[in-house]
Amino acid sequence: MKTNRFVLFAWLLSSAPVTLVLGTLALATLASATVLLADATDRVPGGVVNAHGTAAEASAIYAQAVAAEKQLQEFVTQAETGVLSEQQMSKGAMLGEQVVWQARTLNDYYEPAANDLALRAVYSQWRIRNEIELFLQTPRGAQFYQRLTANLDSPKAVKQRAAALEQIIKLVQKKEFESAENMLGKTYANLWPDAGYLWPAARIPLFKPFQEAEGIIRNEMGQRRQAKARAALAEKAKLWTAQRDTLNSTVAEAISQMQASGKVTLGAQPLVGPEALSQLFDRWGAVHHSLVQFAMAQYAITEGDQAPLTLEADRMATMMEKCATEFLVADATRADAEAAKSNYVRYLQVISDTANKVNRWRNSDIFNDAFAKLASRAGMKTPVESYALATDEMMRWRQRYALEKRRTIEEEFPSLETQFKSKLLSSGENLGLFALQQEFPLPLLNHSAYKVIPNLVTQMMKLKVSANDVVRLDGETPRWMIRYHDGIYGRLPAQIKLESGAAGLMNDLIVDADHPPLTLRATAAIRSLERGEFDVVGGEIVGVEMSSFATRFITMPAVGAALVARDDLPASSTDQRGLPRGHGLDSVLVQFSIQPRWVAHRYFVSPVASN
Amino acid sequence: MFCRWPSGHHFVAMLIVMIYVSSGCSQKELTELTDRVKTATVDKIEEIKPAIPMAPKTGQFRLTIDAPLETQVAQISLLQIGDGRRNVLQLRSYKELGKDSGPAVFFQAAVSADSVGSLVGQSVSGKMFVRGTAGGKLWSSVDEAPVTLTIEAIDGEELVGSVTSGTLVGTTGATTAVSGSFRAIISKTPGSESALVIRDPASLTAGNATGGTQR
Repeated sequence: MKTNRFVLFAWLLSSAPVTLVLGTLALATLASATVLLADATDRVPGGVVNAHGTAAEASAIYAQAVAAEKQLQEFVTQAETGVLSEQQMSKGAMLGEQVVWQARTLNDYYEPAANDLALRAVYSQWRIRNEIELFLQTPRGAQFYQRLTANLDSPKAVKQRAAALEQIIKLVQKKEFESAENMLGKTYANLWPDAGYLWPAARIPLFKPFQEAEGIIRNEMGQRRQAKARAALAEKAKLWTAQRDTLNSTVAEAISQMQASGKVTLGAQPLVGPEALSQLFDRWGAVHHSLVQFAMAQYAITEGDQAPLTLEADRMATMMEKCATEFLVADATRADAEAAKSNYVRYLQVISDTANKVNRWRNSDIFNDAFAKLASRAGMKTPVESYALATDEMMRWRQRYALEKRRTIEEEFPSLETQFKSKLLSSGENLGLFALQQEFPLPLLNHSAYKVIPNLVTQMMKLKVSANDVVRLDGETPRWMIRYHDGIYGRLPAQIKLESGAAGLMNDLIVDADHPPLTLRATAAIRSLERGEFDVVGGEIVGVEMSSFATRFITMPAVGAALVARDDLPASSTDQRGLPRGHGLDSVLVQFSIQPRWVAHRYFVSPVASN
Repeated sequence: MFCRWPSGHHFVAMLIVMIYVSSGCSQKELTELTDRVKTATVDKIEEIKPAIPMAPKTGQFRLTIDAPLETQVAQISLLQIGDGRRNVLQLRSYKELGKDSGPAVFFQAAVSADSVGSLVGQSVSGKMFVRGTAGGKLWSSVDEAPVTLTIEAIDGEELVGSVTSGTLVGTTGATTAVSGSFRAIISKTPGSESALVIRDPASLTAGNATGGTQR
């Protein structure tokens, strides 16, 4: 079983009397020794990181914990601006313990939200305890304390506690741990509203009789929950491998159908090559999405090596590359000239749209030979070769010019990734996301989010930056994002309107409504323009949001799959800087919202229209 | 008469005529003598000719942008795609596609003409890129303001023309007017050029740009 920093402080927290004996000192120690994850944004700095819910039970506990923590926060806020009533202090003390308890449970389910909730609760407990201690120093408080201890020490109360303990021990002996845990939880929930007022010397004896049973229950239930999470992970593995196997056989069958008849039946109707290929590419996208979800769940739960899974992503890309080539060659072998001609143009569109999602297909010549064969079949050899002569050199000059222009502009808009890493490097007062000696390539919460979030906002908001790879998410309403890379991804406004560039590119590539581009390179140039997929975007940061790295990808909806290249995984172990193993629960990612000022298409750079 | 220093066989002929004039002869004799000298000179040149290797014509750009720019190669071709779309006139200062070095010029325009010859006397507007001499600065015309060339004449295998009007914009936003002339070898078989398909885009990085042929 992996070690987890949470375990240490959860134990400290769970042993409530000990925690409060340590008082302020404990808080300081814990805050620096543990990691807090927060789905905080510049607008909602108090947001709680989402649960991934790989084990379904975790989601319900998470919802309860978030609700309790929200109420707790309200008490803390009230305490900072006014005073709390005795009732509120009682409830606050109880809620603090409840959230800590639930956080530990979530930790057993390998939920990164656990760390976030626990440290928030620790802070709230400390804050409410301060209020209680101030209250106890008043005459009214002193009287209240006397009444309270008299009640707790009354024969009736002592008897009730003894009865509860006896029942818990019986349940433990019968190995009915879930019932025992429920009983223990209820008993503590009844005790804490009063126990929260007690000085440590009085509190320790109150809880001590329960400690042995509590230890056994927690250990047993912890193991069960971890086992459930691992079983849920195994189910995810089955799901993804079944989808992979189905894709493998579907692709093999589709290739043989193409070779035999030039048509492929994937649903009810036989489809021509390009349409079948388009559907197969979509299915591949769905399987890759499942792989990403499984891989990241594995990363959170076992912190396992991502290398074998990255190879799977790569293998699928190879298979689909072969599939596309076989389709082109099949049509080049058997299609009549007219069909070959219409298929040729459609294949260009289908392959170029997907090529933008696959790292090693972009700017690649791998399909050249197959396209040349199909062009010959279509009687288009000469037009295609002449078109290439008429456009390749133009694109080369355009790309060269765009690249140099972009580099000039980037002096004013430096790389987001570089800025992020330098400005969020922890040193002195700057509590960042990268430690000086940190070999792990992704950002980690090494300090409390209460410190990091404001710092992230201060350091990054309004900064002028440039970021690579604008991708379009093809949902019901299309959205444009910056592809995930090294702990960062980005959000862009709904539609980026260019001031210039589009008409000129169409003109230079001799394209109009009746004359589509005839090479893959030119098609990619035009399609990326139409889809708003740019190489680089530059602008100002207008929003930040921090999430758990694993949770964000485990819960990523299918439409977000384009954020990860098809031949890669978010925690790719093929990263040259070393394997990003470990930190499944404490690595974070930051989403930056960017107000774009300019974009760099591969073949031109344009300002973004202001409205 | 000698305000311009004559060159070649004209100089030899004039020298002989001057000597004869100074000795005092009639107009008729003078004409006969001149003709004889002309013939002799041409014969002499014909004798010498094989000894002087004639350099193959490569064309030339002589442009003025922010600084004078001269190239030792210029070639022009008309690419006919043949599927109903406009033809493409491509003018460049280097022989192999994808392989320019040093100062370089590239101009391209979509045209309706179907031969280079039919463009004589016409103006052609299109996109121009120039890599200048000063630090290899890149210049380009903008989409909205193409550069206009005038195709003036065909001289043997060369096409002669001039840059009539145009403004180029550098990658930093600086602008410069472009003017000048060119003599471009008419490339009759563009499909036979050696760098038709660039197989390794990685070889076209940095100063050589990236790109390649992808179908």
